[in-house]
Amino acid sequence: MSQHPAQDPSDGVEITVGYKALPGQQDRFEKRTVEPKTGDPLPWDANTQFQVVGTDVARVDGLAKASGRAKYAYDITFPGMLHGALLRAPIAKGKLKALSLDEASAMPGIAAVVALKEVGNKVRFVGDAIAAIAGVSQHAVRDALEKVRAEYEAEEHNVDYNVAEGAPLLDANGQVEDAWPEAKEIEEALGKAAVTHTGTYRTEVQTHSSLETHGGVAKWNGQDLDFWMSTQATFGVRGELARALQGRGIKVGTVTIHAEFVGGGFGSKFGAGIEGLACALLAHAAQKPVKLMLDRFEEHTTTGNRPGALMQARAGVDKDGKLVAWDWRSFGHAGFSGQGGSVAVPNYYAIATKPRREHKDLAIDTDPPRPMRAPGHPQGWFGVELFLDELAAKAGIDPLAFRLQNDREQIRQDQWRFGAAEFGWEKARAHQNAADARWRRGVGLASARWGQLGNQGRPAHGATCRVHQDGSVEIRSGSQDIGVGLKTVMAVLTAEELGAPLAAVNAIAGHTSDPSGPAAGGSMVTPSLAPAIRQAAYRAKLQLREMVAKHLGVPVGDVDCKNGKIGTGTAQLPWAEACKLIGPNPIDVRGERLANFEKPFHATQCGAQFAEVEVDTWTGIVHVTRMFGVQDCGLVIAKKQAESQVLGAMIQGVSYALHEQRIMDKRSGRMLNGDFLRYKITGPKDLPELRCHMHSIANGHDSVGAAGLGEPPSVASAAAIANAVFHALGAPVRHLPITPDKVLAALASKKA
Amino acid sequence: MSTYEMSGGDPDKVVTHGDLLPKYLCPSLLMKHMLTHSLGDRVYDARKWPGDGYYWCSRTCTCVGPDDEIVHPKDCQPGRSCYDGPQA
Repeated sequence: MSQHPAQDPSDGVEITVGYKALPGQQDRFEKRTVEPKTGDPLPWDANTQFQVVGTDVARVDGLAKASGRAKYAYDITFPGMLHGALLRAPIAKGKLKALSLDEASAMPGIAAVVALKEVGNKVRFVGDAIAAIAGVSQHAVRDALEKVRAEYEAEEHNVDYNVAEGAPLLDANGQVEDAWPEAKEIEEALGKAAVTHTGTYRTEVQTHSSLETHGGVAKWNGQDLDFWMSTQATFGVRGELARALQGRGIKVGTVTIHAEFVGGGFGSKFGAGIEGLACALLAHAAQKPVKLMLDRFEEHTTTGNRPGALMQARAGVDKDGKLVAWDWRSFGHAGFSGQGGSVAVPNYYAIATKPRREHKDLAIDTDPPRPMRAPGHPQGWFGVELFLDELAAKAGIDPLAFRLQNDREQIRQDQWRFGAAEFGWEKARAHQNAADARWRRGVGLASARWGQLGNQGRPAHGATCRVHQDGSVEIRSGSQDIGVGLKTVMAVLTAEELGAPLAAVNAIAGHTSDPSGPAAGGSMVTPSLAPAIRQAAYRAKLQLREMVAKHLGVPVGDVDCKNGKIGTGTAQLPWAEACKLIGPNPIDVRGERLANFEKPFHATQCGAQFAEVEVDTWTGIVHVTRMFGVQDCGLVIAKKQAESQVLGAMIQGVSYALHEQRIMDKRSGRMLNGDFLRYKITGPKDLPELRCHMHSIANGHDSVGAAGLGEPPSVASAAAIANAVFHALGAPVRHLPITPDKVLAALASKKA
Repeated sequence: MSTYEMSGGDPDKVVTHGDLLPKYLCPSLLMKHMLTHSLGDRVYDARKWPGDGYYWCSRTCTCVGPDDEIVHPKDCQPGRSCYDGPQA
């Protein structure tokens, strides 16, 4: 714990980075000299003894959420508030030929009607927004939508990636048939390899399916706009809306976004969206508050998705099982924009020859993809990790031994060994399914990587800490908590630094009137904000220490703040008593995120996951029975929330591996399963036994050393499950989701 | 040029999203990495343009610009009719 004012920046401070041995492994500690910036506390490191950080605290807003007191955008209402909705195009491609809003405007209860396209504009997918209407009730708006006269000039459309422009030719087995582009070095390496393998892999489009749909409530007061929005980028949409509405005379400073509670986003809520702009326009036109939230079909079809992918790999190993050649090409399933289908692949498997990676996006006439929890990673890792298991099997090598042979990252080497022991890999892998067994069991594993550890931001991310004379503490950030536990992280960091009881701290997030912070993307919020939060609490502590020192008549340097007490030796004041010294005006300070230290212990986060499945060979149904994950997470701040992120990612991985897929009707261009009845998401009955180990690593990246957990644990899950299915069947299912028909086909192909 | 080409195929060569950003990008063009302040972060795959490939226009709040054409870093540059940034 830092108890002293900041050092002279020229003074280096030695810290210990790395991690304590995972069971059965060895300690990996190193010393680093870092230079804390003026105003920052001394950095926490591997030797720091914490009071609150890392403990099993409950989610600070859990009761509010469970009791319904938490107000999401959907819950906001105002007297006289209107309801808004959008008219959506019924064609997948064409032009808007005519548009008349007069009859709709004249309908009873309708207060505002806004055109979102002009006659002659292109229509690019089923669901493209044409117009917006606000009225006194949803029923009135629905009736008015029926009265909009819109005519379209339809053109031939395509919603099938197999025949998209630039799509590769596939053979009868679904393998890419196009010849590989010339690559002399790779060809030579493949020629010398002891074992080579080629495979084609596919994933389908997955929708974000956040429980709270997109939208919000807009309320104008003159030139000021307040918007309660379901967003994961409060400051981003503030600037965006100001720019979109600049013709109405507003400036960024007159827009305030509120997103105190958000029901998920997974990457789909970075922009205001046409629904956000329409809501603001309707509220401006009607001069009344307007609520506009999308319905579930709109959510599935107009707010982005994780793109599908077609991937092909070829590689070779030498006689010892070391990778000597690697070639990769992928095709992303984009929407009308023809972009956003990128596929990421691991970069830590050591390959003797320079690997090739090529990618092309394929456009079809649907809504474009948006970033989704580790964009490009779950699909790419599925393709690569299943391919590697097939290659290892061909070479007669155990998948774990293959990873240990080829993975060049020490952290994951430790994780592989620890995870395998914890999961019981050796015994489970040795299980032999009887040749005629109906139920076949298998186990698989997969790696994970994530690359971000947070940044300073511009303007620098900030936080406000207020300590009041009644002992209560406010910690505030304008960044949003989309449900991952940011408020708990804020409260824990503040309580730790101040030495205050956790219950005294009230964490408030999501209002742009508070200090700026990053959008919730790239697993950046916690590592980017944590040092600012800590600095704010630290600066408040310095002021409180001075008050207490003066009151007790002791040197300020001797005053310690710990476990709800402030003072030194026997001269101590309980937290509540000490805060009475503050008086009516609170301690009110701002913390700022400073630049990262230069050389972290490791620039990326590592992880490994293990899965066991049971496959019914009569029906083809796969049941994941258990999963175990070991996840590098930097400093564990709030243990329960951190574990929840990992376990939640595994659940989403089960869903991605076995269930989720968008099904399009080629003729109409419309999604056929745009609801939660036919778009299957993993439910409680499908869940395996889930366990995880938080691999806490002092990364020496900044004064806190936190890492985000939104993305990293979601990379490996589907790949580990696919590998377990491969082990169970003895034949791979190379196409997600692994539905019964594909399992039965794999079994049939094996018999054949 | 893709990151693969920029790195010369060296898996250890760091290429960032900022390296892929055109100099005279229209300020109305948005992407996730601008909002997460992470244009300085490393790119791990073979993409040619920064961000995750999801771009939208802050004047329309959609992937289509005021000129009814798709927005993209390669297109949202001086010369486009709706470009409203600094001239080259």
